[in-house]
Amino acid sequence: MNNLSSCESLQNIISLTELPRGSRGVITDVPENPLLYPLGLRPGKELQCQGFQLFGGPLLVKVGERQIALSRPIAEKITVAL
Amino acid sequence: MKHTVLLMGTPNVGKSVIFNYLTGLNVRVANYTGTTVDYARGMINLNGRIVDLIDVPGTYSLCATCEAEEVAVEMVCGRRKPDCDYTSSSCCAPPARSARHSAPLEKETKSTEPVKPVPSEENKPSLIVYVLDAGNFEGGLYLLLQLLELDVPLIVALNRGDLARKKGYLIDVGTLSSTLNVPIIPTIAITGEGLKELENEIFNTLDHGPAGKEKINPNLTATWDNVENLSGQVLRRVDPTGNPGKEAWDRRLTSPWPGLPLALLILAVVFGGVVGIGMGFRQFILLPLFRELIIPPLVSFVSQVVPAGLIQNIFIGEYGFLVKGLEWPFTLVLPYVLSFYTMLSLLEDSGYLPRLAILLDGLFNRIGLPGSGVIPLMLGYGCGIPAIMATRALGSHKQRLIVTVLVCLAIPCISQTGAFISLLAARSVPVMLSVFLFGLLVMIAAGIILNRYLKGEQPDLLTEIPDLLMPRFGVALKKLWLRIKLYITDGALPMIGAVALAAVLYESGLMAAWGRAISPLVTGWLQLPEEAAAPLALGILRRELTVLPLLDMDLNTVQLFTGAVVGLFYVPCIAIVATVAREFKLSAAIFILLLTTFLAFLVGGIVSRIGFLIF
Repeated sequence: MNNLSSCESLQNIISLTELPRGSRGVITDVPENPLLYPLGLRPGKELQCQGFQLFGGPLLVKVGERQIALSRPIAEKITVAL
Repeated sequence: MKHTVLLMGTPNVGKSVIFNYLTGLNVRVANYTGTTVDYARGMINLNGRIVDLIDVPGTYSLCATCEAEEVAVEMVCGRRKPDCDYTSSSCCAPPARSARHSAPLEKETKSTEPVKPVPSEENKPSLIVYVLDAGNFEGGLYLLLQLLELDVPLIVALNRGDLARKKGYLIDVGTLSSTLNVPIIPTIAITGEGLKELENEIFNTLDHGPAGKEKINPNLTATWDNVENLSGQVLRRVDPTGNPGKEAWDRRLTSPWPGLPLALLILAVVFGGVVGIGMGFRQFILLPLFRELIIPPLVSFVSQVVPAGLIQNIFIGEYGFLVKGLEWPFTLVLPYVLSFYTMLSLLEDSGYLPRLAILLDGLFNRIGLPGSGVIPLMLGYGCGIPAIMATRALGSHKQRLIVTVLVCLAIPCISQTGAFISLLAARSVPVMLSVFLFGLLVMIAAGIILNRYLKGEQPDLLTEIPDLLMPRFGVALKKLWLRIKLYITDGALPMIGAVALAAVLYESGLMAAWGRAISPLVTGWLQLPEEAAAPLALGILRRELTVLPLLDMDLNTVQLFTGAVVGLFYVPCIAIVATVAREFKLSAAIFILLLTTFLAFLVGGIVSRIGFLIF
């Protein structure tokens, strides 16, 4: 969806699963999934990582005022800029 | 003149509170034929206007990527079969497996040329009442823009402005209303604020047509860019006056620590509440009412009018349906129905259940289930039928089947639970608790085995965790009332009928014959008295009938435990079997019947032998 321009490659772009708990990031790319946009997970949106659940459970993030839970396979494909 | 009004919005906006306000008690739950989607429907009659109000299932868009959205599109178009569909390159990807808010559609990708649904002129709804959550503005704005593109009158209820204010958001209602060219009524549904104005606006629009006749601004098509632009124009940030205590508690409840121990505590309190409140209802209200006020006059009337003998016994004898047939459903089961659904309402309305689901998701994945599977499992402790229906929200067929088998096998419905408590609590509370714990262990084992051998995949989780809210007394009461009504029609009355049938079987001697026939199994293997065979025949009619007759037999503690365990795992009642056959296949229902019977006897015998060895 986004081609990484040379400008963007200077930013620290990581997968959402690598975002430390408590840290904020701005979404740069999301996989194809019709639910992501309506839930607020769109490029340009800021989110805060609330941490993974135990036993391989889902990741909780805060986007604006909303809390969204997503499993690791989806989170891996979302990239954020620090 | 009859109008159809659709109540629409994204999930978790407070639609049902508004729906309840508008419809009073004249409500029923309907199923959209040919789908797994249920919706609520009510009639409003005001000064001659008859309005069919439909609570359309919450969806995030009209892109028809899942069944609920398909149904929403059909309802908006007023068509029974869709010959329109809506795919737009700006919102929809090919139907993904991960659309978890209802059963995902398994169909090929359509071309991504935007084709809007066209509501049929004759059948389209008279009005759409759109509920927009002020605290989740952008999310709801997209669907609103999609609906505004259609040629259906629309008014907006802007709900939960108070919560938005607390979070630090103010919405310029005037600008929004004029930009969208649509009436906007601010409401706070749970306090009732604004609802009268909303109702008036609804009837004004139905009587006199929509206020703004001009078409919406053609530049405001439904795109996310437009959503964000509009949001930037009307949304203002101010200082939040929010409740930091509430946020701190939310964090505690959703993080593994202390969330998981808190979850255990909460579930223990719920369990204690169900048992304690139920016992209170039984002891102080229902038992005296029936045993002293209602049943004795009936008994004396029958003994005067009907001569002693078989017919009289069917009425007031051993399985007399005027005695046991009234006592069992109303003094043994109803108290726990009341307490269970009260506690369940609290859990549902507070918004805690999705948090519980994600806490448990990792663990539940080990038995092939998502964390949200905890909801149908908990419902199963009330009645298996809503539990099996609730599995529709689960992603895959395999998961639905696993939960269904677990519900039929190891989860006692509230009738059975009431029976267990009556049977065991008086004798020994630890024994009662061990029956439930034992059921839990078998559930886990069965889940692991089923997960290993059933084919299917585990869909990915992607869901919103709604805000924590204070449950409202009025809403909870109304829900409880609806559930009690359902219990009386679907539970108590069939139970009375089943007891009458049992009375006939008993008095005619058929039950004794049956008891002799399977006596080797009952006395030899299970080590129970021969008369315990009768309940096993009744169990298929109503689950608690496997357990309740044991109350009057002279059994020692080990035998009680054995009887309870057999009753727990034994076949689900005939209503559940029918539901399974309907939701899945007949073969699934037969498999469950065989599995439960076999396991009940196997485990019962083992337990009995171990019990006699130890005690």
